[in-house]
Amino acid sequence: MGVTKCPSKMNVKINTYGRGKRMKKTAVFGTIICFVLLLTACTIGKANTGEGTGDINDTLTLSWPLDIGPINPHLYDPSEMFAQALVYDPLVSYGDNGKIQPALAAKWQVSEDGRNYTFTLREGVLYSDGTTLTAENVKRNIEAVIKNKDRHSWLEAISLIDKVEAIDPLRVRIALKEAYYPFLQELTLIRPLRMLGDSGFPASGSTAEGIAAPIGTGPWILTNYVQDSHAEFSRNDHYWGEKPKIKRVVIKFISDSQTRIMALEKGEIDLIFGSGQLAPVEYQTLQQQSNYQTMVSGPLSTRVLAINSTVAPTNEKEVRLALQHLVDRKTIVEHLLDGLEEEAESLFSPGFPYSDIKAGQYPYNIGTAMQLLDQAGWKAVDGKPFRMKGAETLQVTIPYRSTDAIHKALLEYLQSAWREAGIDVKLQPDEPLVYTQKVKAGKFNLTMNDTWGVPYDPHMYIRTMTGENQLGYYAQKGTADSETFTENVEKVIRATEEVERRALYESILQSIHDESMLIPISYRTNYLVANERVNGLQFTPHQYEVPLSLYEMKE
Amino acid sequence: MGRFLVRRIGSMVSALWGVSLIAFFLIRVIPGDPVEAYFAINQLPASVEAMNAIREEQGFNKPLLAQYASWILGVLQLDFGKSFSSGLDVARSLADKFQVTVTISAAALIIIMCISVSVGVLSAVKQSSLFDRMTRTTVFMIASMPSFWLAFILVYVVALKWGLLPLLGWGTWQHMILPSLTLALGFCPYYIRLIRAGILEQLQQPHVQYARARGLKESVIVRRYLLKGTLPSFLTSLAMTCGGLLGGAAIIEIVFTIPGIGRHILLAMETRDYTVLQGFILLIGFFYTAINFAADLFCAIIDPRIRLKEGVQ
Repeated sequence: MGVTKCPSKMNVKINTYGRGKRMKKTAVFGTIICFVLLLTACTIGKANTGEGTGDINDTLTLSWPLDIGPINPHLYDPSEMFAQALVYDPLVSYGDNGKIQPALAAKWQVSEDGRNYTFTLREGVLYSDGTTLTAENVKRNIEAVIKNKDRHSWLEAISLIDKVEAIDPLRVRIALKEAYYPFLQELTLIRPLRMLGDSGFPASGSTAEGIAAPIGTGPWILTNYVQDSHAEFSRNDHYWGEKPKIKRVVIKFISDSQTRIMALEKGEIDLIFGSGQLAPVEYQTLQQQSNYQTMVSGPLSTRVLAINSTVAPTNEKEVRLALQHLVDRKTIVEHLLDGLEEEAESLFSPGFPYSDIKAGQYPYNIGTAMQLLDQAGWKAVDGKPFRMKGAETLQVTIPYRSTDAIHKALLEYLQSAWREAGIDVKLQPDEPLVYTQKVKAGKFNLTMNDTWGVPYDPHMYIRTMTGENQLGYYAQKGTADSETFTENVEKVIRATEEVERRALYESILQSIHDESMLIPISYRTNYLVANERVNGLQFTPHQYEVPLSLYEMKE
Repeated sequence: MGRFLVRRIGSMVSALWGVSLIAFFLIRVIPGDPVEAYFAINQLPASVEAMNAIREEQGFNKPLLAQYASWILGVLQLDFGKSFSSGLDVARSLADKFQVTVTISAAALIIIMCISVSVGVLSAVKQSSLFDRMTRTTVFMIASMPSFWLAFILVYVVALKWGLLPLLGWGTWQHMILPSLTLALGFCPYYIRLIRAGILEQLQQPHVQYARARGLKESVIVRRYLLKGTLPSFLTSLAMTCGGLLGGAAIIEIVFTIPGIGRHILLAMETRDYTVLQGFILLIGFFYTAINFAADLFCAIIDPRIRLKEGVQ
């Protein structure tokens, strides 16, 4: 008995111990679960209120597809233009219909020969660090940009600056090597000629290497920035112009459009601004919902189909003209662009400077197109799907950026529509850099392109048409008007008389139309979607500016 | 053990040197160069002179071997160079972003292990039961869903409709749940099947039948014999998955707006930012070899046959 009792006692002990251990484990596990649930409940509320602290009624939150970058006013990518415009001001700004308006410069004088510009600065303008804007500081900014002129070679205004002089604390004179009428227009650009405060310059003084801090005179001050996550801007209470109505703006970097829409639905953002952030169909879906405000801007740039006049078969004028008659803008705008853009009747919107010129139109007409192709010797052959000239098939190649969904849809539509007219369209979707190389080498018959938009149009788009390896260059080079066209472009930017400029622009735009260098499709617009908390929604004439200063938040 | 370690570390170094060569020369084979990309992204027309001036400033015009030598010497001193597009220090920006991606991937790895081991073992032990059949169907469904779609469904239901978790951003642990769960779910089906098959194979082994005959509890058999036998192949496979997890994180990071390495690299690819891409490839190479080294070491510790085969006593 003694022998059997002993193990039985031991077993009892062991079992009790095991049960106790299990109970202890269960208790610990339960406590952890409770703690986790409690923590979740506390922090979820916190996470949903947005970034940082601040009164929600005074804060506007919007999405942007990319990080805003270091917002160096004198450089480009990865700084985002709209963010640069929030912090820095130009000497002059771009108003409605391209009218140049005072900004940091209250007034300016241009010498008769068009080579000297004297700007009188606005008095008492303060940088966000409290220092005053002076002529010396403006000089320092312009000289820092000129030092790095290789990076700005695309901008003629910079290569033409001969000397910058601070006449007195409020007057600065810029001398140009030769007359250049778009100089003021180029000063309105968001980059690279906006003003950085002295304390924003790095120790080396070279802004090409980076900036010490984003110190500007603009309506907003960058107060918090987390790379690839979000940025916060606070109102600049010392701003010289009309002060922003909202105290704080939070910009969340959201690269995916579906996530952006869900964030808007959940109230994590108040505003989606810009045509690049939503596809037309996504905009329309949100427009149909009653709880959002939607808005479309006026024309900002033109979507064009550029024709290479230096390679067959588009080196033949009749073929180029036939293609003009084969573009059904109405269908494209209504069905492919969901009515968010306007049909383009001319290369530039008539509201742009020097663009209210009636150069003529090519109506959509398959009959006329076929007639033109017949005249050029491209005949329909029985049993063949495409027109032929001798043994050659009428074929055009159209490369495009594979990442651009709108271009893809538009070109696929043209491919099927032009097949009816007997044209074989070879579409080539390419990775963006491969596409750029192809275009630079002139390896295309047609390709999609946008004009530069305000404030660059019309002079900068026209100007690039004369530069070798540029897309527009291939459009004009093979035409009969090429020589006159190039001469006129050179003349127009040096012309100091308004009447002469107007006449030259008329001749340039007429050549583009008559020789069928470019096919205007639609005028591009900006659009926005906001929830009901945002008031005072509007656009500015500048395509890269987001006028956050003009918006308000409802109580 | 010393010889084993020396041999493995030696092969790690030579593999990394190979990776550095591939990283440097292969990305230069891709059409387009950073200077062209810089102008293209900014939509600026570039003259040949302007592009050449920038190439000279950045040293892109030097012979390739000289460029490689200068880069690799820097790397040996832990200087990975500066990003061409942002001007930021590559090592620091990669480290910041990699930390975020590794956190998501590590959380996903833990989820994979928990789900795969528990579901895999249960469906093997309860073979052909209702649970096993339901698991099989679910596994097929999840495996055939693209990860971005799964991400959208989870975001829509959990964050938007139920409001249980934040939709965007990064910073608190709640931000981590949905991304790591999405990432993990894509990998779970494979591991559930792997563990289930491994356990079923182990069940036929004589030592398991002997353990049963001895009257050992089922839980003891599973823990001591079945799982232990399946673990080496599971762990090796899991180590190989780490690279896939980092790759998969790129899509997840875009959907959830997480400042991780995936988005960073996609941007660097668009801008042909060579220094960032080289640094990234080398980093991933190091990560991959280190994980495999750890997995080999772990397998050698738990499986004496591997130790004996490798001559480690």
